[in-house]
Amino acid sequence: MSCSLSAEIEMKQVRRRALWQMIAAAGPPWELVLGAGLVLAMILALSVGKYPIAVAEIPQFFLASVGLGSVAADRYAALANVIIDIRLPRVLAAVLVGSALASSGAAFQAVFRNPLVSPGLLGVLSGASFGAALGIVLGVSWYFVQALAFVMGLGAVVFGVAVARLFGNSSTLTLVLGGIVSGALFSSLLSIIKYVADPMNALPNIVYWLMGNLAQSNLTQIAWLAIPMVGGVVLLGVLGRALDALAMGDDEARSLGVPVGVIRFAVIATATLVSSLTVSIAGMIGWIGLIVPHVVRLALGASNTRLMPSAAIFGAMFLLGADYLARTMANTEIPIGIVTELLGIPIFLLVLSRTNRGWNEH
Amino acid sequence: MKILLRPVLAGLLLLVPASARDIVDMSGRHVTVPDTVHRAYAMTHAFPLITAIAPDLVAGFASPMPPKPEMMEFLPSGMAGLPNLGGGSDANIEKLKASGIDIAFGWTSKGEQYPVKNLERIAVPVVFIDVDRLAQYPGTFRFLGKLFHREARGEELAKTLDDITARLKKSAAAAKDKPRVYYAESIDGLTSQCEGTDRSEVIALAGGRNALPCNATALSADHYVIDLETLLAIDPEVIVTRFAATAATIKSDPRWARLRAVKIGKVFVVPSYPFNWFDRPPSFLRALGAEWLATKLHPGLYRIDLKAEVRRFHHVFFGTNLTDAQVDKLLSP
Repeated sequence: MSCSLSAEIEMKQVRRRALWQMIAAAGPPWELVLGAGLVLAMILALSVGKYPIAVAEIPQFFLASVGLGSVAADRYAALANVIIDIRLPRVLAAVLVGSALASSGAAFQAVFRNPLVSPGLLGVLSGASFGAALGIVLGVSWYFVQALAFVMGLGAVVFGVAVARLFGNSSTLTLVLGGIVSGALFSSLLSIIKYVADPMNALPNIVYWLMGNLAQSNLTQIAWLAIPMVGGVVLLGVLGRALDALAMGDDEARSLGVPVGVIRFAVIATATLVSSLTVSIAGMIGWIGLIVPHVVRLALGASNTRLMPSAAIFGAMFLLGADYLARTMANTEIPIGIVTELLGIPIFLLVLSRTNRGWNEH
Repeated sequence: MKILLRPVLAGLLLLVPASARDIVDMSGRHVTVPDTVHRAYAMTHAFPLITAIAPDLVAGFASPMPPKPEMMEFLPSGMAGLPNLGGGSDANIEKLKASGIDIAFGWTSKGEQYPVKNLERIAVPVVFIDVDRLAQYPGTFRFLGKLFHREARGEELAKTLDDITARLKKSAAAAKDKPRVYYAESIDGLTSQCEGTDRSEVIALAGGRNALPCNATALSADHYVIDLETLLAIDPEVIVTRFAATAATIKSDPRWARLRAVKIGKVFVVPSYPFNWFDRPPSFLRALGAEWLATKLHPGLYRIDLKAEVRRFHHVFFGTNLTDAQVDKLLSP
């Protein structure tokens, strides 16, 4: 079954790649198209929101901020407050978190050679959730809550890897088992925290935060976290070619001179780091790491060289779109994790419907 | 010595056939209660009421969390050493039985009546009382007065609340404009309550208007999450926060800086001892909370000596004699 499945998928991918290459040959390079798409999406995201701002005021504001044209001082201050202080951190957080989750999801799927794997595989999200919930219950400052989320996310993965090591080898199967153990442990620890949390104060904060929230971030924090996150996403993008070599199998990759162990470790470590940081910024946001790589694969083919950077950009755009809905769909703010999951299900079903013929023929 | 005697006395009481009587509680149920109550367990929202009318009969705290040490100095004397029996569905039924309670209090809201089944298993009668709105409290105090055979005390507490409410109503009616107040309930300040919800009634009592453009029929009206842009568009004149940390954030975060309330320095932290003056738990302290807020909203109209009023209120309800330092501590959380 797996033979015919992979053959089918491969044929489709070859066809799709050929189509894409035809399109790409006719137009500007794909990197440029995707990059421009992301910039456009960011500008759109900056222009929409509940505070009444006319569309024309956005360019006026930016022109005035570089000394061209003028806006009345009070209006300028109001615009700066809304656009720079309120919308910009959200937009940047969406871009960082979306790209980090999507590219680490794609990286995990490549390393584990399994399309159903997501960044939470090794327990990083459960660990980070536990860390943040612990911070909220202890009543420490928000920065410390975020730091705890990050540390516990890494801690959970280290624990999972240690469990895998107990079984003597570091095959991907034992790693997955280690991740399952670690995920289960930290989920139950999170349940303990939720159970003991003050139901009047701490518990609603934990529950709300676990549903994902981009509104907590401010510019200083984004600036600091952008360094490791952008670095990690770029590194994963660069490693795409090596992941293509790994996809052929360890022995074949080794024979090509690819240091399989080092690459696998680097990819897992980087993907873990950036996905742990996403929880620090925005809480739990599901589905992106699973579905965005699939959507990109469907559109651009399975080559990791192209998939890794494209998934990052698509992930950013997906989360910008989801955040737009979260901000504007109802009078109240809808937690973004709910939006990504509701939005992700039809997309995932669409992807499945495009590939399930291969699954049924064997 | 007293502590040692307690279980012995409780044991003796179990041996004595207590005379019982049938009553109709505030939800209309028929309940058989002991004629003389010896030890009472009051679930979370009922707890402040029993603390005021019968602190000597309270068997223990009824909170899912350990009670805060800061609240103890503002409670009736002798309560600080009480155990925490847990609140509602979290309470351990065997622990409750061992504490020797002979009556328990819940409240009339339909969804909150489920712990009864548990308590019925240890044969403790549960009496439901009204706790949702401040206007119900005089009635509840009179009802409890009869139940505990402390009619005079119940009347005193009810009358105090009636007087305060009447004074507030008069002032609110005279107010030409009613400032729009935003209640920043969550730590991040972005979860609130719609107009008309039980949990935000202090605003109306104090002669203000809820700044939110939603009412009690809205989906999630008592857990209303809004974003900063909506808040900027609403631009409330006064912000009241539940937590001191929230007020500190609001005053320093540039995202909040453009709000009128922040610019004119009208961001206030609700006092919270011994029970929160605004909400959670809902209690009669909302009357004092409304007086506190009225002095902020209508300083020219609602002219009282707030510190003296705080001292009087605490003395009437909790029997405490607060020092100036304690009053200051309450008023500047």
